[in-house]
Amino acid sequence: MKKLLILSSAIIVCLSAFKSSDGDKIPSATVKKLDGSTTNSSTFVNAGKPMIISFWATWCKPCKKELDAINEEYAELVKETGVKLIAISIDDARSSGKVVTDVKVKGWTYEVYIDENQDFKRAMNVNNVPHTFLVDGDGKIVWSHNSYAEGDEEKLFENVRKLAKGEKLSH
Amino acid sequence: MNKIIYKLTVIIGISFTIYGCDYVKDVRDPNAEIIRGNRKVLVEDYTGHKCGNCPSAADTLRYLENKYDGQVVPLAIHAGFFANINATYPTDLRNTVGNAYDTQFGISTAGNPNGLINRGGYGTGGFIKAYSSWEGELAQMLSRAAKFEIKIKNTFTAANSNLNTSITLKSLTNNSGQYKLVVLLSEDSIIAEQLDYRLPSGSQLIPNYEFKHVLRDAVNSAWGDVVFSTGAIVNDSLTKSYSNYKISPNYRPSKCHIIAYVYDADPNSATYYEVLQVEEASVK
Amino acid sequence: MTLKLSSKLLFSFFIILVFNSSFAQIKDELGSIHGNFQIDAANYERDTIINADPGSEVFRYNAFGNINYQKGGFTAGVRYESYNPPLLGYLPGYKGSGVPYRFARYTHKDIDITVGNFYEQFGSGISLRAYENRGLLYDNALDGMRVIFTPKKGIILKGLVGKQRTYFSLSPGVVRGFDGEINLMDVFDSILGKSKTKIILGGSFVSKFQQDQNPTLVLPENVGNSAGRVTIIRGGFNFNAEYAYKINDPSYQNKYSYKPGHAIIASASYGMDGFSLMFSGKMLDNMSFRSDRDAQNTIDMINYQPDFSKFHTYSLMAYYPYATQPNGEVGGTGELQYKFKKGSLLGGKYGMDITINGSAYYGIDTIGIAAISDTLNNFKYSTNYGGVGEEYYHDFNIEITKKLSKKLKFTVMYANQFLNQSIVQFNTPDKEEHPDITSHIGVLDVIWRYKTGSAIRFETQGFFGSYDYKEHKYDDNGEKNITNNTGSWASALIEWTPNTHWSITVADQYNYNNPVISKRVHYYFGMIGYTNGPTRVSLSYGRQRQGIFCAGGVCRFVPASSGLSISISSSF
Repeated sequence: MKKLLILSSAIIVCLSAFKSSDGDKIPSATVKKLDGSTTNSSTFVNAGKPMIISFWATWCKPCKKELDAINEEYAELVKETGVKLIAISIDDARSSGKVVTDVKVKGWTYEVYIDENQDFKRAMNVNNVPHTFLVDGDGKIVWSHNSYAEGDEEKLFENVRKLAKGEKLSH
Repeated sequence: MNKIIYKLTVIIGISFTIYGCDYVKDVRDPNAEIIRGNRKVLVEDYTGHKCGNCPSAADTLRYLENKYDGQVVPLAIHAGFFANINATYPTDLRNTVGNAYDTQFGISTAGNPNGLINRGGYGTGGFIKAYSSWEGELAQMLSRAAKFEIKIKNTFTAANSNLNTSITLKSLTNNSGQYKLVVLLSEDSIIAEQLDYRLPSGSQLIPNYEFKHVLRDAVNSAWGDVVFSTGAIVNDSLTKSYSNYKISPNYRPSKCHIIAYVYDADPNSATYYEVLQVEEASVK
Repeated sequence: MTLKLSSKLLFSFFIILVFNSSFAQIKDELGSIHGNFQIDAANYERDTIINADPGSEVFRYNAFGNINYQKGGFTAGVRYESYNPPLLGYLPGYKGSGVPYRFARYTHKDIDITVGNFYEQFGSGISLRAYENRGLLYDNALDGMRVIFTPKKGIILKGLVGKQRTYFSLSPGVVRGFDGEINLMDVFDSILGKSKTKIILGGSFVSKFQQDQNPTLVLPENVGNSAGRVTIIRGGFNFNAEYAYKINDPSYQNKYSYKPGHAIIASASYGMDGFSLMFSGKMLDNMSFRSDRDAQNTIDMINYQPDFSKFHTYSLMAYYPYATQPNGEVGGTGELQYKFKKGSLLGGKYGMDITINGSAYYGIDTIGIAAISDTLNNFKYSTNYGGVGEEYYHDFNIEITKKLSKKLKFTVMYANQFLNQSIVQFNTPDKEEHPDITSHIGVLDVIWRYKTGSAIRFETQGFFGSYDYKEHKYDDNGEKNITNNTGSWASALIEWTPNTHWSITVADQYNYNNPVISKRVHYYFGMIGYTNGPTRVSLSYGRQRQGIFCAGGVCRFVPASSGLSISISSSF
């Protein structure tokens, strides 16, 4: 038990010393479009406007809740900030067939890709889904958030608005 | 440049298709021959009476014992979940030595049946062997020359169940590592209940199954005594005597064997835990 | 944990820290360094009531950290892993620490070369899939070399060779693979570019080499597995199919059968706004393909035989999960989703979602197959491809989600499941010990967002199982009920999220009518979670019942446990 405490406190100390090294470009990995063709993640662009990259899976309830919650305000947010949401499904062959049907049924208008063998997930250092990133107008990753709790989308909207105005973000 | 790579990929692809398949027509190897060397091999079968797939492994071991007559030292270790006792399976074949081995090698966590062939390959994760691979692993071990020779001399006094055993080791090569000698007691032909999934549903409980060469106890200890602590050159020999060992009254001395093995006890060695030589002799 | 070990761990964190703080700022010139890590540790307690016995090693952990470096088209990375010993229920081969994963990759124009470790998937994975699932500790990364070549848009060629990861070392067999994919619309852009139908064709060939050490049998040292696939997409309509054929491949898994293997996997779906229909079907016969023919558990699998059954997230729905049967199965899954529009009779003010899902899987119809055979006599059988064998699993479930007001939303779900436990989980014909289980499961899940950013979730579940024993008999001490008959269960959970950083969960599962009275116990559980950006920390205490977890066609038995757990994950 004592060891557990030592270990965890050591980790927390390390963590608090971590500096956000945000500001890198989107790494390169091959992902699949819903029409079956492949594309490279480094080509994700939104003409100088911010982008949201959200990792999800068809079997992940919180992921779908988050994307649904965003969807309710999405049209408005796009009009206001020009943001684009890129949804990356990490479903494998077991459920990748459900990605397209889930997207259609839910009426999501996001740009959806399938990262079937999780190459992009690894390149983005994602441990668990949902994991959401914000990319600024210059294509730099400036913010990320793991997991989803009710109301998390408010913070995301706030940050998107800040980015659209060219303001800096803090965690 | 690209054209070259393109052509190369195509050529590699085609060559795979041609050379990537071995179709086997005749399953039995007509040229099979048995290797006869000076090394004996300890084949441990980790098992349990409630393990319905375990009799298949026991049969495999019996087959190897017959085929490689005199070159295999078989040992059945009952440990883990499948060896627990209850009202249907009251006979307890577990013991602290077997439990120590099971815990150290993580066998019952990996599942039963499973085996160790001379405990080879401990440094790699895949040292626990499915019984389908035992013969192949055994053949590999037999093909390597022995480093030691072991001779066992047992003197048993029935009146007081007293056993004196003296183990003589002779170094067959120049050996400079760390070695330990373990002396175990096994009992053969124990009749008790065993589950066997090969039998039709409803009659899978065999009430009078014969358990072969069951590990019972250690004469010294599970991990043994250091031998040749300063290394050994060819023909060096030593004798370790263990006197006044009492065989438990629950075991039948006429069915008991002494198994002695020398293993690599150097944690930095590539063959850590590997049994380098093993010998077996009946108590009586 | 020994002092040596903790200092090792600390050291690795120190390294990460130094790298991170010193390099992050000057990244443009020197490239960038990123990574992530996760630690799951537990301090187990002995809890005789639920049969939890951690043995002498009560403190256990699984930990890993990735560090990746990127500059332009060049990427390199390492992963450090440590298990001393691993958490309960994981394979004991994962013991110790090391760097089992390191790679360097260079991408330039149409060429992409990786040396070292890599993950890869051909088609649906039935011919080759190297992947990782850290939660299950499944990792069959290849260690070798891979070249991906894209001669023109719409054509991808891949070639690879390597050995698979086996714990902290490598498998004895070598894997070689080649895959080609062509997107007809892209390649014949001038003729087909405007076509609404998209067609993609692909083919792969994978061969493994492993020495034949067996003195009695002639074992094939080179075993090939070839597959062809097609994808057709038009509008909301999607069709995918793949066929694979594997030559003779005697293994521990198939009891040294020399019969070739076949697989057909197909799925079709149609989706539009508010409605979708999907069907996936498969027939697998002797398609287990491993780089070590004597490998067990989830080790050294070259291919992936997908399981299409619904992936349940409610714990009692997943109490008896299904997994692809590696020796053969036939079956399918269908799903219908419908969204009642806002303002419609059932939709009400906020709409209503309904999902109906059904799966049924059977054994293949074989002739001359012996239940269990002596491995030394290879095993012969033939398959009747027109028929099906005994039922393995079914799951029919319906899920309704409705929002009642801006603040209140609920989900109700019902499932009827059947599991042929003896075959699926224990690979034996013994129905007496492992009876078939039929169950009815119900779930109610309510979320109340009492103010912006704050919510309370309440969930209750019931599992009502009937166990079809051929003969009903229990031991006095309940030994027969270890994984087999636990009767029915009820559970309740409350999760409070006061703000976006914190969450507090308390839960209880009650095995209220276990046939053994002394086992009618509560499995209580409490957890506090904290999230900040990419970092998540959770602390939990409670009991975990024993269960079966399945992945990639192989099930893993996880013993009961009790104790304190901590989980930390982050990325940078």
